[in-house]
Amino acid sequence: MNNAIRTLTIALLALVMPAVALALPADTTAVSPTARPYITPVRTATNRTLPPPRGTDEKIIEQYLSGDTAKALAQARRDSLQRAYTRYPTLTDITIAMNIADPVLMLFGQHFANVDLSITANLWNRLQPTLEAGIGWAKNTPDGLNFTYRNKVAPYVRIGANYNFLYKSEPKYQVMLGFRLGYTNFRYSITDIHYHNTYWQEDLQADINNERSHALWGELLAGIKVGIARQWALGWTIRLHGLFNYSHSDRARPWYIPGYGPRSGKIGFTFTISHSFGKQQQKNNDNNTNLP
Amino acid sequence: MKHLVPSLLLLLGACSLLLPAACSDGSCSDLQNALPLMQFTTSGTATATTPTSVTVRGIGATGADSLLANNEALSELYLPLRANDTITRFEITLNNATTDTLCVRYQPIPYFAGPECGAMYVFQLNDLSITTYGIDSVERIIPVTGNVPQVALRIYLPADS
Repeated sequence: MNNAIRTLTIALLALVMPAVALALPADTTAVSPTARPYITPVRTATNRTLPPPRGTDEKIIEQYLSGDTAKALAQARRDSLQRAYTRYPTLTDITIAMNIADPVLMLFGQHFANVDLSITANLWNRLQPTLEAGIGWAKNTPDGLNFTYRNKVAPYVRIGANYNFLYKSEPKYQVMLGFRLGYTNFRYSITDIHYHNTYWQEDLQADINNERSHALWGELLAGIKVGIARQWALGWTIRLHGLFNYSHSDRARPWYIPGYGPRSGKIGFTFTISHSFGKQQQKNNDNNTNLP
Repeated sequence: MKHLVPSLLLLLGACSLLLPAACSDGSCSDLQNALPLMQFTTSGTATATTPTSVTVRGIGATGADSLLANNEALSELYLPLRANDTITRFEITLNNATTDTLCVRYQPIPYFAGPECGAMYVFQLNDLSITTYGIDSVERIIPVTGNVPQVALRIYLPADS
């Protein structure tokens, strides 16, 4: 019975399938002989094989070629981010600088000098805590006046920090803003005071010796630093400063304050030659594992 | 080329260092002495007055220039004190009628006013006394003279003088 049904089905299919095969081509080829076939356009550029961007690490290229494209893309992204957001080590370098502005200016007639050494820690090539320590002195006998002002050599100290706006650049090139807090304790004298009273025909000489004073002041500064050779650099700062406090006797106010300059002055300058200790290089890629 | 701007700024800054040495202003805006300023005042009021004729001379001063004021109408006068003494006396003649003697006791103190104004003596005024033939009294206004224009002592005159 089953065999009879199977045989009947096969015979039926044998009759039907040729008819279907004949009917289908008749429906799908019902196109005008003049119509052009539709072709999806493809941009030729997308088929071009692009070379890797300049500077791409060989390791990334190898990863890509080996088929590990996900890892290669992630690494390439890290590299790209690092170029955009340059990172330097926490302690990029340590710089020791000497301020030589005033000794030079004394050659041009200035009557005082501040000479200091500074040590600066360059953190992330951005924030730079600084300690400046030095000595200052003055001797001035103004033309046409009747005294000699003397400041004995006295120490001073300034502490503060800079912010480097060229933090993406090499550390030997810097443009910075900063602040300082300064303090000094010093003695001063006014000697060879000639006093002439024409009415009484008096001619006297007097001295004001060893007056003691101390001063506290603040500074806002702007400056630059430019590398000149290897890890040597030159730089200058212009400083707007003001006294917070200073002491004086009834007989004389100090004209000059070590580390500050003339008491009535509002602007100071430094010109420094510096040497940096440190690699001054960016962190390499392996250290940037926290980047996405 | 990348660091041309910082390099130029470095040069500019180095040149500007020379400016302060060339641009210092050495003028003195105050006085270059600290003599006491005397003012004539009408008794009973605090208003300054100007006698029509005043002659002032330092006692002990000699020569043709010994007169500080010679029959002048004035309301204020700087009194030169001796810096090598602690007492100075002045004769004050009013309207060619009465002559009084002003005695000033003081302590001269060397004083440094600054690099522009120089050094001078200031005077700590300890005591003032005056005869009263034509003058009522004298008053100390400030204890220590300075190199600024400020009345240090007042001479009180009768209202009808």
